[in-house]
Amino acid sequence: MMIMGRRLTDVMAGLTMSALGIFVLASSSGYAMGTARDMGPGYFPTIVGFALVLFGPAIIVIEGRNPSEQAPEFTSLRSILLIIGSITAFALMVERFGLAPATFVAVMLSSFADRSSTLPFSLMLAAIVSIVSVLLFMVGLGVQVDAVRW
Amino acid sequence: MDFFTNMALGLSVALSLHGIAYCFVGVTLGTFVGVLPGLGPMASIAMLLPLTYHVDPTYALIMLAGIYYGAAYGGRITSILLNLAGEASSAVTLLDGYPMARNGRAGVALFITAIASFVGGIIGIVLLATFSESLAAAALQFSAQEYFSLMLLGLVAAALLAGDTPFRSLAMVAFGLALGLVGIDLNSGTARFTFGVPALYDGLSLVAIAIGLFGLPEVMANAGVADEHRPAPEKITLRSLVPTRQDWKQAAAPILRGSAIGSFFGALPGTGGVTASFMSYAVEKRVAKDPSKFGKGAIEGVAAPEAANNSAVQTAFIPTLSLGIPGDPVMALMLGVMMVHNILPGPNFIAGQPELFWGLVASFLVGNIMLVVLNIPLISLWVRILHIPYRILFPIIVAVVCIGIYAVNYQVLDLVVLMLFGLLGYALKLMRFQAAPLLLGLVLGPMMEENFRRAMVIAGGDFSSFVTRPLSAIFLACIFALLAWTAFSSFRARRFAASNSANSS
Repeated sequence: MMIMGRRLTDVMAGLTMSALGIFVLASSSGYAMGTARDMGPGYFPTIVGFALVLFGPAIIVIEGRNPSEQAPEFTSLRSILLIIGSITAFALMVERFGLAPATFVAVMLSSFADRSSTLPFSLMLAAIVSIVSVLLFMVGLGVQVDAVRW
Repeated sequence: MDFFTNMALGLSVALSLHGIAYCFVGVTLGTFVGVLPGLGPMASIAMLLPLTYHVDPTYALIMLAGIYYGAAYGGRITSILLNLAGEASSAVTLLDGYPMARNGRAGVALFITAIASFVGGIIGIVLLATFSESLAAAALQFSAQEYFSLMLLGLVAAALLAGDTPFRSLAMVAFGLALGLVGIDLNSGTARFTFGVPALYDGLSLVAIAIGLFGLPEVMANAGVADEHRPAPEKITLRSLVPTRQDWKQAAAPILRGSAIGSFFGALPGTGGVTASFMSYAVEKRVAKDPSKFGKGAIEGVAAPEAANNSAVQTAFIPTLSLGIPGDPVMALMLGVMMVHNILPGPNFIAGQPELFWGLVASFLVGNIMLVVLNIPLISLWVRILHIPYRILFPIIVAVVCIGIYAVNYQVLDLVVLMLFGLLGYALKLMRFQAAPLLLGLVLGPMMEENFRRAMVIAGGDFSSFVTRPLSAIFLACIFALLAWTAFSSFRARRFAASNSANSS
């Protein structure tokens, strides 16, 4: 797998922070600054924005000169996509179909992050987890949602 | 009220049926996540937070605290048996713990560290019970200037002491402060950074952010790890646990020294169990008659860091509960939970809600006793947990996280926030940012702005009031000292690196 250069990591990190800072400054220019004695909603965000902008070059210049040996660790794309996918599925399904089907799909999708999972195994795990979690959350903790909604 | 009345009050809460039950659930879960490598206490507390929203706040805190100090016990098992840090503060324990296991003394290492953890924990609790009230009384004298300077000190200390990338950490703190701004400004009623989404008026969900930043990257990184690639520990028999008289003699002083060091660093803002355990290991190495035995299975090398780690975990509650200022991200999360339940820790907290404060303190006592039982006679149970297949564990975690987050406010938006911050957390990790300072900034941000504005109103717009008030000046001086020290040590490290590479080439 490609390892990001240490130099590139520092540059990206610095630019991201400065960009965030500029975004914060731009947004807070829309809020009243007020005076030091009576600060408006824009005063503190402006300070924070400036700090972020300044930390960017500091990361690139100062930390870039003293690079750490550690290379960033990559996570497999498969498990990122499946975990994000299972949360998306849950978010889309929970209000439309209810807790149990949403949990079922989320568990199934995320179980495939591990390549050794088979379809019967995933179906079984999903069934057990959705039944147990409905019992735990709705009966045990009194969460007010429908288990199944049509 | 004297100490015994207080403790009696505390025990009446901690020894109630609910108190014992939630404490037990907390310490058991804590040991569980401490044992599992790849699932840290920060991530697990974050992921279990939503569950506690449906529980009475006293018991919720007892349980969450139990997870925190339980994890400090559990981490050492993985360190000793597998040479893997179950959690960051156990990283030192493996230096001598694993060699001990290789020498067939895993049982002794586990037993001594359980005792060290217990002694460290108890010493931490005693300090928490003795100093919190007087610190709170002193803090009553604080005005907005002192609060602002102290919070700034906490943030700067946490950022600078977190690792070797001070500017990245400071940037993360600022990013956290910015995220804390999202929502309605209480002074003016202006909606800030809400982008016209009414659901954001109350601010971003702390739980969703914490799980997104800490939990999801760990879940994503570990969910795909095939089970056959994970190392398996050997069995531990009860008989192998018993230390010799010689072991006791060698471990006693390091345990006490470790507890002292841990208590100190735990109570300081910005430092915690990780710093404490590293420091105590360094101290043991220095005071030892024969430093060469470290790294080869020295019992001092496991006893001191574990005592330090566990006492730090307990004294970390001192600034959180008596000043309302969390010293580390886990404490920031705890503070967040309290605020959700409308409990505001601070100088008036102990006097105002004694049953909660003393109940918590007493539950720590109960919890530590439970942990000794869980960790000595039941040790083989935890060793077996290292065999749980990840392909069963991680889908369950995903389900608990999804349902938990949704059930806090019944808002799908929170799931979207969770997902976005999960991706952000991963992106930050790739750019070698640490998420911990961000969380501190996020929790402290609104309080800092509030105190900053109030301080300036009191001082009539005069910035010099931060320096002319003596206590505030001391806090600011500490910040400058920290900055100067960081600059100096990074300069020295670079010189050192430069001369090294010059020599080798």
